[in-house]
Amino acid sequence: MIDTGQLWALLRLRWTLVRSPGRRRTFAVTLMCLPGLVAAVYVCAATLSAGQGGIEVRVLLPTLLAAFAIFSFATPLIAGGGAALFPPEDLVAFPVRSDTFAWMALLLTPLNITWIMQVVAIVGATGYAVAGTGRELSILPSLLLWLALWTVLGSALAWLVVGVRQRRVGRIATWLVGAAVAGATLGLALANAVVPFLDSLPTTRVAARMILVPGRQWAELVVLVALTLVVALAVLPRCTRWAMSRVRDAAGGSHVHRRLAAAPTTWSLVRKDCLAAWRTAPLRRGAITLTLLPVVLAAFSDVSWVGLVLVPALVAAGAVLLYGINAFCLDAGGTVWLATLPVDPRRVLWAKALSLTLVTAGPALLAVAVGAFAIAAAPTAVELTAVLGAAAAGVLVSVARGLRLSVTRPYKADLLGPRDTPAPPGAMALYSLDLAGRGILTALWFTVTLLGGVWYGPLIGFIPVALLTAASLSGTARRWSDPAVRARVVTAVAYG
Amino acid sequence: MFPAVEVRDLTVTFGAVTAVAGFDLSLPAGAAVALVGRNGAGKSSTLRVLAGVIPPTAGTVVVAGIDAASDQAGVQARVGYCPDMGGLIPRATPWEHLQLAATLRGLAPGWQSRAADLLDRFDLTGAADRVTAGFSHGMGRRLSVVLAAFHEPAVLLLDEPFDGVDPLGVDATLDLVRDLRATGTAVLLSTHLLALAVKACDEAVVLRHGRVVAAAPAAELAGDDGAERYKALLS
Repeated sequence: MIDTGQLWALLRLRWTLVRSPGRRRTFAVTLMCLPGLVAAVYVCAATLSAGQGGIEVRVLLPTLLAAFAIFSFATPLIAGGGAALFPPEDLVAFPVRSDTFAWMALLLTPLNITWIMQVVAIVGATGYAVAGTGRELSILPSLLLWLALWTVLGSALAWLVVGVRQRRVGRIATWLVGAAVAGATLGLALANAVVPFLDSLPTTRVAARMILVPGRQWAELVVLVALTLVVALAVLPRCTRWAMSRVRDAAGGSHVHRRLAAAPTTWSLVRKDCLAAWRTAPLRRGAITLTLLPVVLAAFSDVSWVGLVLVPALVAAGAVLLYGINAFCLDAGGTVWLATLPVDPRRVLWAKALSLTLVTAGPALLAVAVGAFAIAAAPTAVELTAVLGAAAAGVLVSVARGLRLSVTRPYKADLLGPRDTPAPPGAMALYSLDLAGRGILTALWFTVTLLGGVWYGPLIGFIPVALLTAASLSGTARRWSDPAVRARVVTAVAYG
Repeated sequence: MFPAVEVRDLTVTFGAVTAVAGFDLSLPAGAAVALVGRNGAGKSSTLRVLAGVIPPTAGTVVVAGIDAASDQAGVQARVGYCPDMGGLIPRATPWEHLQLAATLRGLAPGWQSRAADLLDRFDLTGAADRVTAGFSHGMGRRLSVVLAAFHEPAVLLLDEPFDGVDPLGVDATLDLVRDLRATGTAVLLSTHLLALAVKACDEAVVLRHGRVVAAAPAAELAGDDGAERYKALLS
């Protein structure tokens, strides 16, 4: 069923292309740590004594299982079917089968930060929910099978939708379905019907059987999920084959309206980047998702102002991952032409920083706005400054890190295909962890500034973050001022 | 009167690889020189240095009397460069490329008429508002030539401008080169198409392993005899 020959050949080639021993080591260690992290989270959570918290988490388990299923479908869908070891156009000269693309995408799923965070959250919550009940081990088979099932099934469904969207009618249909789902979500939230809806989900029955003492009903669930997983594994390559066999019809939109207004030099460069980001399908999809995600989360959870402090920094980290970690890739081969124009290189970098800030700040601020709208209570002064400070700091930290990586680790990536990413899969995994870590630290820092209870606490807390960011940006600008560094960036982005 | 391009002892290395080793060139205004040689001979690296894309490892580059080491932007203002491949922003339209070039080069108002004229000459008017990601290779090459010539540079650097271009596009490029030379633009052209190099240029410089192995009037490389002579220089 699986052509392991093709898969291993591609994996070997990808690994060979990671030339730096340091980077190989970092990637290998990170990869090995991931199962350990998941296991450690479970053991830690499961060894906590059961109490009121455990019961509350048990009530949330069906929602977490449902959320995992939804994200397992949405994540590969946003990536145009799933991640790829190589852009498909690089492989046109080789007889790579569509099945190989399917297994490749599935194999790369654990490198996706969204998937990792979901798994860690669900495993941790499950461990906490069953702590001290004597079911710490018996719940694992059904839980792990559930995670595997939805990872595979979500991928298969995503490929199906990718196939449907190859035709104009399909694209319109999926937009209509998306709008209907968004409308229904909003309706549930406005009608205060979210909790009854969540209680009616099939995952409520699944979770109830999962935490049973091993017996007939427990075994039935394990067998049912295992069998469905086998079916999903059989269906996945077929869905991929079908989706990849459908040639996209005329997309339209390749003609654009001419903008007659001239702009000053820096804003011309900023406008170029913003337009390019909007015209790039994976970036557009990613930005829309990052903006809509908080809407869904706000609708289905009881957001507080303290909780909202955590949101913008993480959204900003996600937005920078869309292209900001390799910001020059938006120009692709055009970087060579741009390098021949008589513009101060510092201005070019400044324009990149500005455009990246705009692209990052948009989703982060929208997330704050949506969250604020969803919270019934008015914020205190300290909560307001903490949320705004966290948003500004999150954007600054992520943009500074993105620019640094863009100058020090450039890659050739034109982002023309739906599955293209700004860096290879391994680098994307490391960058995801890097940016998520910085986002979490920034968010936690502003949560700490809330403790003082004074409105200027977060503002004082913003000062060290701003200074560190300024130091990072200054270091990046210093590197960029070296013509040899600029030449390396241009050559890597344009020629690989 | 200083030459349009003066290159002395140019050396370009990439790690352990020497791409260009002691290249010298003096190009008067209005002259056209063809850079020819095998793949990896150092032609593109030389042009990239002259265009300011990569810095030289050693040597001096002076364009229109301006030393590239001391005033890179001054040199770039006087140079137009068509890279060997790519050279276009995939999600921008030809018109947006031209608009950006006009802004960044500080062109006087009225650049639109020259832009429209060039697009027309290269049969790109109908595609002026299409993003270049959907362009064929030949269309991309033609637009790269348009962008290089747009600001009527003192020095025009063309790296494989005929690659994948149809005969009408080739004629448009040759006509443009002739027109610009008439106004004093010096042209440095790298190509593997010997017949077109002979048509466009007066002189030809043959590069091998980053060094100049021969320099002669381009006409001497014309025809079958010229081709045989050229092949002998490559090995």
